[in-house]
Amino acid sequence: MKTDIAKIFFFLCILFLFDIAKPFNFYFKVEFLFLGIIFFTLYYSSFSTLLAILIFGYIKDCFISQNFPLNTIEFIVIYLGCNFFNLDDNLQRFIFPFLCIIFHILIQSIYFWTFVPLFIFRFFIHSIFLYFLIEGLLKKWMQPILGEYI
Amino acid sequence: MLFFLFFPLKDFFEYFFIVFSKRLLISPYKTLTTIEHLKKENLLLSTKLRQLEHLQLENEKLRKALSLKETYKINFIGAEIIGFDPSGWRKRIFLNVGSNRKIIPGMYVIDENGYLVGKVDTVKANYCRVLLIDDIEFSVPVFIEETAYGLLKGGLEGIKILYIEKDSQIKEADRVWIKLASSNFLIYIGKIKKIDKRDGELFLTVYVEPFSKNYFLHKFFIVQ
Repeated sequence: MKTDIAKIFFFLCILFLFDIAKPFNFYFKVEFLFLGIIFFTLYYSSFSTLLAILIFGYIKDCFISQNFPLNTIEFIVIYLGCNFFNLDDNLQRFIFPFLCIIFHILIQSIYFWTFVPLFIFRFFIHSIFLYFLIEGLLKKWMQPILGEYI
Repeated sequence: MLFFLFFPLKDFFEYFFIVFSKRLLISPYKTLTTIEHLKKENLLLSTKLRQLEHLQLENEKLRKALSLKETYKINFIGAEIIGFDPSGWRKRIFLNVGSNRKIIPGMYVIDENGYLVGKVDTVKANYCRVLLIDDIEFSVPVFIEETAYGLLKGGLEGIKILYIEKDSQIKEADRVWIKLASSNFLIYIGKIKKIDKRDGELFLTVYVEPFSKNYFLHKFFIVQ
């Protein structure tokens, strides 16, 4: 159990560092931490994931220094949504990331009050592409944890 | 007797056929070791070369900045980038200088060529946050060559200049700049990419292409 928590925290930490370091500069329109949270919510829904979501959402909000904890609330909504609908079908698991990314785009666009179709399209495409890449890589690495799901 | 007679010969044959032949022939093991050694050496040298190239580039940038400082008699502080804003919607960076170096909000940030990169937004003891020119909250009054002036505003769709009257004599590729109040140093921002004229609107919408683009490769200087 401790190893699972450590793995989740370690991976989310790496993704958050990716967000801060932006290795692809501003060319790649993506939020790595958000994609990691979708993955763990979907495949490893537990109390430790919820704790990680709360902590990393709070850290992200601190970095952006918004008065409103938008990311923390958004991540919790995604977690609760996933648990509420009890997604265990492969098709549902395929559709869920799409819905999460659309939800994220909507929330952020409304919060910053900017609606730029080209940016939204690029963000969506880049996020989907990277999510499935992360999923492919992480499934192998998280095998002992995800054993019962895969 | 025979043994003593042949003993040195045995030594000779052994030396000739085993030791000497080994020296003459190129053994595969030795070749592999040499290749590996050369590969290591090559890697080391190429790393050193890259380091030297990086240092040369950095040196050139600092020289450029120094010449700007001497020509225009302006004072600026060099800064390194330490991070980006994690949000995909914002374009803000963190620099490694703060109130300990007398940085205050509103100071302009330029690159080594003297082009505007952004404006200091928040200052803490050891770091400051900079709004880049294409951030959604960035705005600054600018001039277009000597013909017009307006409000430059960043955004996800690009950098725009607002409130330019329809009859102003601006054209594509005109340069956009701001002037420091403390000196006669002009900070160039970019050039006009597109001019949008719409019927029924009082003002033009002008799209700007910034001169400073790749934030990774630049040295930053905060103009005091």
